[in-house]
Amino acid sequence: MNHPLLDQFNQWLQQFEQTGSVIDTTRLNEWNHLMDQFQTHPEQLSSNHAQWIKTLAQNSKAMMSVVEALQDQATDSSEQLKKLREELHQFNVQLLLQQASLPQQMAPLLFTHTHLSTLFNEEQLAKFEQLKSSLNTPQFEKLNQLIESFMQWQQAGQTLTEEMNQITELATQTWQEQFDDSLSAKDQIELWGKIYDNTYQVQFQEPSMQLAQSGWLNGWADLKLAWKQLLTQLTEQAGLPSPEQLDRMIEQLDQQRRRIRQLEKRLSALESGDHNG
Amino acid sequence: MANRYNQALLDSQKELAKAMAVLSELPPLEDSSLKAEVVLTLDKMRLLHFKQSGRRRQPPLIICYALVNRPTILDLAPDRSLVQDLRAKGRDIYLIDWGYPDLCDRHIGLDDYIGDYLDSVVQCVIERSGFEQIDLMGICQGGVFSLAYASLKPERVRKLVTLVTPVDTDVEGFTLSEMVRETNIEQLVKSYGNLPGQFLNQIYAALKPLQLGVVKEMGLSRSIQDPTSAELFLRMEQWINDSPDLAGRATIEFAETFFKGNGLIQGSFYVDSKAVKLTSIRSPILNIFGTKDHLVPPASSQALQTAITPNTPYQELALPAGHIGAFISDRCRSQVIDAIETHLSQK
Repeated sequence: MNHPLLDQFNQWLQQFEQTGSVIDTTRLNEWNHLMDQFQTHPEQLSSNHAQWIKTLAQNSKAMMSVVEALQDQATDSSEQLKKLREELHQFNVQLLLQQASLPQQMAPLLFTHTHLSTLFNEEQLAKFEQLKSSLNTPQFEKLNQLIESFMQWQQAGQTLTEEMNQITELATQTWQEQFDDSLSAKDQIELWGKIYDNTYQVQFQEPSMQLAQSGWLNGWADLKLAWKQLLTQLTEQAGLPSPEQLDRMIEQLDQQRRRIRQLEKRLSALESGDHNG
Repeated sequence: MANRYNQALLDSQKELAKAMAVLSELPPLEDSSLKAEVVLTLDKMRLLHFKQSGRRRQPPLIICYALVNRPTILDLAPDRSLVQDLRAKGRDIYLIDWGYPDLCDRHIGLDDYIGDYLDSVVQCVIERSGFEQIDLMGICQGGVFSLAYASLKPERVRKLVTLVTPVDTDVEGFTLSEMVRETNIEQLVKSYGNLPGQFLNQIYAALKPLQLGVVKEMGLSRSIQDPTSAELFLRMEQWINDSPDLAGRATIEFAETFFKGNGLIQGSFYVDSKAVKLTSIRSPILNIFGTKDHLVPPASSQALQTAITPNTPYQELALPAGHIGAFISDRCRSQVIDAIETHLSQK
């Protein structure tokens, strides 16, 4: 089957190879354009696996930006290492935040996005403190609790990021010690992955890491519950079914399910008794 | 240094082009998994029957999978199916599919899963087959359920197989257990209702954050270099992302009693108010685990040997594989099948 986009990509590859695999701005722009096309119209290549085409193009672009960033510092190994650490710090933060995106409705209330790009700094925390103290009347109690939970979750995130940055630091040291220039880029990446994950596992034996991870998860649960309570207050005020009413209804349904199950079991016992008799 | 980058770049782009080409020609994945007769339904649970291929007269084998992820992994593709391989050996197979719990199932607990559903499954299979005892195989958390059942109803279980099953949660290097230890699972479940499957997936990925994250993502193209490997890879990914939510109450109970309380070892795991005592198990046990399992450390599985009575026949099969590879990889599957077959066939 003919795939013009794939043909263009193959042509680009051929030219890239012919010119001694040197990537200049023009070639990079062409490549970026091709990847954008794959991301925007993946179905041109495969309607069955469009999502995978998109993911591959996305990953490749992300990878290229890291390579570019590292290559900028290619002449100085300490600068390169510094850059790598920064990238890893960002990775840690992203990893954490990916695990918890705020419910859409909560986001505007907390003046932030559903996917945060960074954790809080002191200045932002101070702003939230200020906001909280300006809402100290009983009617804002639930909202205040939500803000308080949000701040605590953010602080827990800081603690966990610090722990994870320590892991990065230790793993980077080990990597430097084991660095083998003769390894291919692929093997280097795999080696790095193994070293990092081993360090991570060892660090997880430390109570400080366990507490940091759990503190962050617990903070997240508190935040979600505070949000639920605020929603309950708002929906009840508006005369709408609230999350707590829904919870009670589910509980009643469960009780009924259990009663039916008991009856089924009794019936079955009676039936088998009849047969035996 | 710049040349190294460029060469790596060229290699990765060649792989990318190849992966794109393979995907462009790959047909949609056919859903061939778990095609079997449904012989029992209780709430969301279904019991699937894979009829035996021969006429061998032997007790049926019930497979109890974990609540986490789907049992489709046991029947991933026609040529990669633990269920079909066992069936080909003449085994009569029943597989428990726990289904997808929704919010109405949030109050379902371990008493329901083990004391009611699993017990009803065993009763149903006994009635259908005419045998007084069945063989039971539990995988991962399903292994914990199977051990609990075999200790509470030893007269019903002829042979027991545990696959990648955690037993002792206090062993060194059990990261998942360490993660749970200080976490307020009750509060987490209260906030969600049921524990979302996607959330769990992220927790699992966080056990090996780089190798299951960036390194895997960067190597995606490499997994899609020919139609056969691409299809397998896509099926595996489909399975990984097909994660049911966990019923709230069962999650709390499992975290509190099994993980935090190390319930199977401490004797503090209860089903229907009866303590699960591993020393009550009478069925001969085959315990299979992966020596490279990052989810369930081998030491956790191996603790079973000392937790049962010395009179209970016990064998181990240690495979050089991870949690899933231990029963899915080409390298290990035939070993697993042979070991199970031998164990079940022994008088």
